[in-house]
Amino acid sequence: MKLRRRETVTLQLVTALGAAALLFPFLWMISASLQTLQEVESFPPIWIPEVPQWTNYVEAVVNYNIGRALFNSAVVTTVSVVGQLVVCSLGAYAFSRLRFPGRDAIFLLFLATMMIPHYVTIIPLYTMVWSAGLIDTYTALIFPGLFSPFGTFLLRQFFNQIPISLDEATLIDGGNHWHIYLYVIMPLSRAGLGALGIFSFLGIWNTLFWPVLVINSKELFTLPLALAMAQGQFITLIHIQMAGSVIACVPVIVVFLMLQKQFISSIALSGMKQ
Amino acid sequence: MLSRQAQAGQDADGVTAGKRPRMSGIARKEAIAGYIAISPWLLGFMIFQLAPILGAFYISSTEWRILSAPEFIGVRNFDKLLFNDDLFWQSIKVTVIYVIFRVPISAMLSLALALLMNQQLAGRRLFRTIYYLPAVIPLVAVSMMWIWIFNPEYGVLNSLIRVFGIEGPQWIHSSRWALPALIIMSLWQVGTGMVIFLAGLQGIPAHLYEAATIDGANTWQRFLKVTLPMLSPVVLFALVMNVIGSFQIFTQAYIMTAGGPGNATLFLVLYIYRNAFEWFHMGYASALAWVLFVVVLVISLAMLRSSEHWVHYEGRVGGA
Repeated sequence: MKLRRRETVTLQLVTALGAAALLFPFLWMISASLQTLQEVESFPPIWIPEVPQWTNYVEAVVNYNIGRALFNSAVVTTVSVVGQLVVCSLGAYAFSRLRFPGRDAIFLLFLATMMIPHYVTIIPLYTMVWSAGLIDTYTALIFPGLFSPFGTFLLRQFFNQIPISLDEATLIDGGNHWHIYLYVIMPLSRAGLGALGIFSFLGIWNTLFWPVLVINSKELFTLPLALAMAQGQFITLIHIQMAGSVIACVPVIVVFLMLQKQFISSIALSGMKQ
Repeated sequence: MLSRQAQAGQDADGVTAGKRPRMSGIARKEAIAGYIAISPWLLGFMIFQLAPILGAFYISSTEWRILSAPEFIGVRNFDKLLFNDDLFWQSIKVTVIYVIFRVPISAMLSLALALLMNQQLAGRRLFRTIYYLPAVIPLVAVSMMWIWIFNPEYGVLNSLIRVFGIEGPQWIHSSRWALPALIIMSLWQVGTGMVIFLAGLQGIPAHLYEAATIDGANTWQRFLKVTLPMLSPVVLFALVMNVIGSFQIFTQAYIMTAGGPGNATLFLVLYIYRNAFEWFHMGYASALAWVLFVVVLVISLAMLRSSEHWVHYEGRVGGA
């Protein structure tokens, strides 16, 4: 579709204006995170702080628990993403490639439960974690997320596209089923593993619901939880809250900018987010 | 394929030769590898998915205050929520209004953005990045940001409105404006939809547009007769996903409004959360969760059903 010059200019302008409008809240957050409290609360709003208050970040990290929460989020997210990739890829490999009695029955059961959403299972899950004495532990944060049904299903779909003749070639060359998994399936599924990795990274880094339930003590707060609690407790300290929010956004934005192509294709691939 | 047939043949031979199904050494090895590979996931699936689903069935038929033993009360929880709980109906009302406004508006905005991004504009990749960015950052941070944007006194939104000499509303502090405020805020994250639509647009073969142009179709006709029908499966998918996601809104209300003012943003998931984890009515909360599931399921199925009339599938004769 070729457009006339006039139309192109108009569209270009609309695009730029829309982008500016979307960036506006971001810029305000960054600006507010560098202002004094007095500046944040002044009217009309100040956009450029007189002296950038970098100490807001130090204060957020040291005095308002953001540093500890950043560490917790990093640990929980890393372990969860890696664990999920291992567990789900093994499960998907079994579903996709290995024949064993009961496999199809298990897969049917699995499909039947995939529709049931998180909020239905979360109450029994919470009572299980609670009666196992696991409230306020890393285990409670990490463990239930490792066995993602969605992840297993997604990877199985990917694995199914890999020609089975490659498996046979490996077997003929004297390899076993673990060789197939390690040297055929995994290397050829980088796109799928990348997509699942991105989904679970975003999901775990951003989630609030589960940490709110299973974590009580400050030492184990994840970033979203620490921010949510700060919003409740230091409701007036806007500049500190904004500094904390920026800290929570930076890792996601860095990863997003680095892996933009994979992000876009993985969202387009399955559209599952939120 | 060949090997599967060969394998099947071998299994059949095993049956006839040994009277009962016996596995060859190779098949046994494969089965053992299969059990080992699946066992971590299967164990987790049974403990963290299957057991909780069965548990949720049972719990929803009990009165359970977590510290004492659950007491079986049949369908009384469902009876109460349907006929004797104004807050439940309030939460349904609030959630449905949110979905009804958010889903179509964000679909139209995402489609418009995707069409824009599909043009040969300068800086297209940069713009795509900017449009998508809000969709990836943590919802908690988004909420914190918007609390201050919506601040009636010194928030940027109202100071922008003041430029026109109008005093803006109280936004999240007003029972009338809190829900619209959350809908507006949700539109900030239209990037996900845009990316899905953009992928769909790029999958439409160029020759269809060429053929339409030769037949004398103008831009608008090409959009109506080529783009929309070809995109309709993607639209259906995006709408269903968005409905499912929107029904589960929680974080924004939890952080920004605490369900208020005056229960104006008491979304269903927040109400479930309150029942279960603030008031410890585990049984009642489970019943609510099942109701939410059924509502979402029925709506999704209805949308899929209706799609027969408006979704065009390539290669199917007589499609709409």
